Amino acid sequence: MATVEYLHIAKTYPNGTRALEDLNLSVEDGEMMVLVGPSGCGKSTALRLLAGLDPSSGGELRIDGRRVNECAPQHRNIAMVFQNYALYPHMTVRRNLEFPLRMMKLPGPERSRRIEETSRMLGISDLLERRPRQLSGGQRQRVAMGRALVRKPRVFLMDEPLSNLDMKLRTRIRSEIAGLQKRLGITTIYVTHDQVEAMTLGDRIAVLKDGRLQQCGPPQELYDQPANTFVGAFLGNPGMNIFHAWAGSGTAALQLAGGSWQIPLGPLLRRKPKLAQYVGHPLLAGLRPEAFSPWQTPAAAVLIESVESLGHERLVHFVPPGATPGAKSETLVARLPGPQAEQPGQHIELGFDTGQLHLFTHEGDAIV
Amino acid sequence: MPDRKSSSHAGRGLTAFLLSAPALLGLLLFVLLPFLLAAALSLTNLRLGSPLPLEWMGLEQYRRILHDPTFRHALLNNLLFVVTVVPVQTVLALALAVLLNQRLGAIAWFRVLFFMPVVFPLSLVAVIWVLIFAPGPDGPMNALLELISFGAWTPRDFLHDEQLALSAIMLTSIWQGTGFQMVVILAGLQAISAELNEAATIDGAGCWQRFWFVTLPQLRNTLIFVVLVTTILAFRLFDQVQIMTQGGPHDATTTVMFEAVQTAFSRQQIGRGAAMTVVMFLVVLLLSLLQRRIARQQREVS
Repeated sequence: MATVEYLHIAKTYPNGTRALEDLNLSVEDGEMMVLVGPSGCGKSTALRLLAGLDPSSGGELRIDGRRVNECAPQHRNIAMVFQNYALYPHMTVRRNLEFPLRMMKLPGPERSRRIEETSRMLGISDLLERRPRQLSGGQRQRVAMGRALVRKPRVFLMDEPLSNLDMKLRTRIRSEIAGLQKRLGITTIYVTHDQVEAMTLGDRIAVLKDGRLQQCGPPQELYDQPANTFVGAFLGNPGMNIFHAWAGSGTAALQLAGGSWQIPLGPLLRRKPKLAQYVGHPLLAGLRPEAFSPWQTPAAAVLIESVESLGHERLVHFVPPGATPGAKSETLVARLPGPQAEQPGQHIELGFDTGQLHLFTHEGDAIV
Repeated sequence: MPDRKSSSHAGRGLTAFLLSAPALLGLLLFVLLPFLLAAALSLTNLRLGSPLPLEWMGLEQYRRILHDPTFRHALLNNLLFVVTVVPVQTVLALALAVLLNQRLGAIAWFRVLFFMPVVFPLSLVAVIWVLIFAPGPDGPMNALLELISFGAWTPRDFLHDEQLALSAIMLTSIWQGTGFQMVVILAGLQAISAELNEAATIDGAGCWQRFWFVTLPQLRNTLIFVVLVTTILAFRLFDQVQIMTQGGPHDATTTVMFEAVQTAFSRQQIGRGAAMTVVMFLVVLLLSLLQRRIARQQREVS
């Protein structure tokens, strides 16, 4: 069991790509930390640096408070599950599980005992004499986890471990991983591009973009109080709607989407005192799709572009009336309960709960 | 409609036959026919320009060559050549391939350099090595050995030395042949996923352990192929012998192929030469079958 710290970690690849810039992140003992972000955000790089597969270009990596930058990967006592599992194809499952134990020079009986224990825990006892190519995707995934867990590592790294599985299996193994991690209490860093995995698995989530940490915190906190428009739009499916807003100095109202909705400034200022600094400047507003409803005020007549029905709910894509037609950024999504009731081209009255309104500066940083 | 089906089936068969006919004809004319002829001639006493009548000898020719000390010497030399050159060349090629698989700046140039000997004609290579092995203290090889032994080396005439001639030919062949094996192994190395090595690193394996437990098993089929091809090439050893030593001194470097060519074309004993090539064919066939069996077993395992 261990703590992990990234201190001012930077990584520039030899070809000039800046994969990480000044990453500061600490993972507590026994915690499940999920690194999430779009591809190329540096999340896998962060994992590879900790594993020692790539050297960092700057900063300090600590495990249990000890600097490990110079420590060879084989001495860091870290285990990793790769996206493609990277099982040794010429070895049976048993030999795959045994490999890290042999490298640790454990005696034979102890190796057998650990293999027995781990394979029972993961439900792969019947597969021990098979070879990786004779296994299904889900079974391979379990073997890869087994190979990582069998040596009782200090830190457990997982690089998109579920991305090669089909939807149903993914959901099942996801909850298995969560259960296993809690039971074993191993400090885990889990990399994914899938915000659903991040929300459901993480004790805390670290959102990365372009090599920079955007925000780090418990899933609900990130969902409810995104630090910027990127985090807001990235978490949630669909993500937060972001649109232009204007708090005119002359009027006492916040104008949303070109004046489609008008909200009294007074209560908003009480809730977000910093907003006062931005009066008279262009702003960005954010609303989760579920914040909309047809019965709330302020309401505006919106033009429906399309409706996706999911059976129990529907996603209504619409354009607010004040918006420039055709400007893509202004298409918003509302999540409304119940089956489809609207037709594209129709106008409906749509309002939202002002308590759920997020405000950001023009640059995208949250105003609190 | 069974009739139509069978006729169209026959039609397809005919098309296939017609399309492959040119290639089949070539194979028949230039491979199968000469081989059958050789096999038939090996049962006779055919000699070129001999006034004696052609006689059927049956297996007598084979009995004679197998009791001929020169031919036995040739077989032994071939065997020695194979058991020395194949392992040395394979290990060397493997080492080079591993080195050249590193990500270094000028790696492409090194790859070209190490592959170049393969492109050179064998006869040219042999001529150059004759010069390298030149007798006397001025011969480059003698000079080099003298230099690195701090003058303790007394110059030898490599190609006319019974103890050294075969080794000299082996060295030439290894120098010439390693590049080809290296390229094949390099291709095999590059087919190994980098993730496997990374996984092994994280599992605690050092670089030798990674080589032993991941790289080598992954290269298994490539290595089997390389060893098979090199073995067959080693049995066909001829050019170097012809140019560098003419089989001498005292049959120290003669090979089955060299003996066969000498017998058939210099001594004009066609029947006897043919018998030698048939013996060689059988040896190579046996080795190929053996190696294929090993390869198949290992493929089943992996």
